[in-house]
Amino acid sequence: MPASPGAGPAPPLFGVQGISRVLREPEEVGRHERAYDALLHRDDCPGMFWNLYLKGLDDPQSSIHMQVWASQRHSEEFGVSPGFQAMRQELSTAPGPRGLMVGPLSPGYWRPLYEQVLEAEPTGCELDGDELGLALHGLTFVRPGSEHAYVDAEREVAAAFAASGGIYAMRCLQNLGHPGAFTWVRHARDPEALDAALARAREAEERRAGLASEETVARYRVWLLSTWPERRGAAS
Amino acid sequence: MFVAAAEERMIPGHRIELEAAHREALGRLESEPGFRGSRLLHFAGGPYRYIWELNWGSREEWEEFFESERFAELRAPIDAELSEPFSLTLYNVPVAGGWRASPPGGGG
Repeated sequence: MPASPGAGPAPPLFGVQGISRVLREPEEVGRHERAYDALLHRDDCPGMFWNLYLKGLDDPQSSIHMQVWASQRHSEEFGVSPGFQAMRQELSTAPGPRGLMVGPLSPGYWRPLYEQVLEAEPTGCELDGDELGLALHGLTFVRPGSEHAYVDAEREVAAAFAASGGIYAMRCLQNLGHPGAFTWVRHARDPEALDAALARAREAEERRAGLASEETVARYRVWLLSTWPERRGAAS
Repeated sequence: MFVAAAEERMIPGHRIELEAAHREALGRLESEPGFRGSRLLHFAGGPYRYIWELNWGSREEWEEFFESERFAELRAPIDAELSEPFSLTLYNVPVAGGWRASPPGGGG
């Protein structure tokens, strides 16, 4: 994003991701997540660019929350905002945690590396009957020294996916504290579109996966997605 | 030199309290024999992980402090902000130096 004249370079975008096991009833957790998303729609949240919840395809206890902010400062300001604090207070009266974070980078801070939105990406929430497709999500740790090669490999896979049909969007982020850790998500209209894209990208995927020392890849339902392209335009 | 590094995991939402507790502890450490300085490192890749480095002139000076009641008194306000017990790892320092207050060449 180009900076305003004389304002210095724009701060880097800032991503947050939490991978968790839901402990409470999924319906209760879902209501909380939608209430959180509603806060992000407010006019006093200009730095929120997209907010995503993924749910396990056959495992309703598996949940991933990803979001990208204009900067880390925007994210931190939201964290201490009256609206969020009020919601947090309200929910703290319920017994026990809502979920357990999974893995050493959850919750984690991430730098967005690239984003491709190929088709009109459906937004909304399953609770409202919206059909948002599914997503292939990965958390990948690469061998030291392979970080640049991995980003190139990711782009190759993205190019192959882009040439396939029914792919909505692809995003890739790098952990801010563990430079060998990457997380990525590829949205598809349906399982058939995802399978077709994976078949088309098979060789590129093998090269990408070959750089990993460890990774977790799984399919998820896109349960909620909100995007604010107009905020990005205002920020640039 | 000898370094004691405490890995800490913060209770969510307690960042201000945790960092304040470390500042207060630093003030108390300055009068400890053998204490050479400390840094609180916050993991850049996530909100809850910290490492607190304590630098000592020797292992003996560290152990005298660690085995005294002063260590427990120092840790108590910090531990109150942690979601789990801290873990301690000890290091000898074979190579050190290069710290600068400003970039090479005197730039600001």
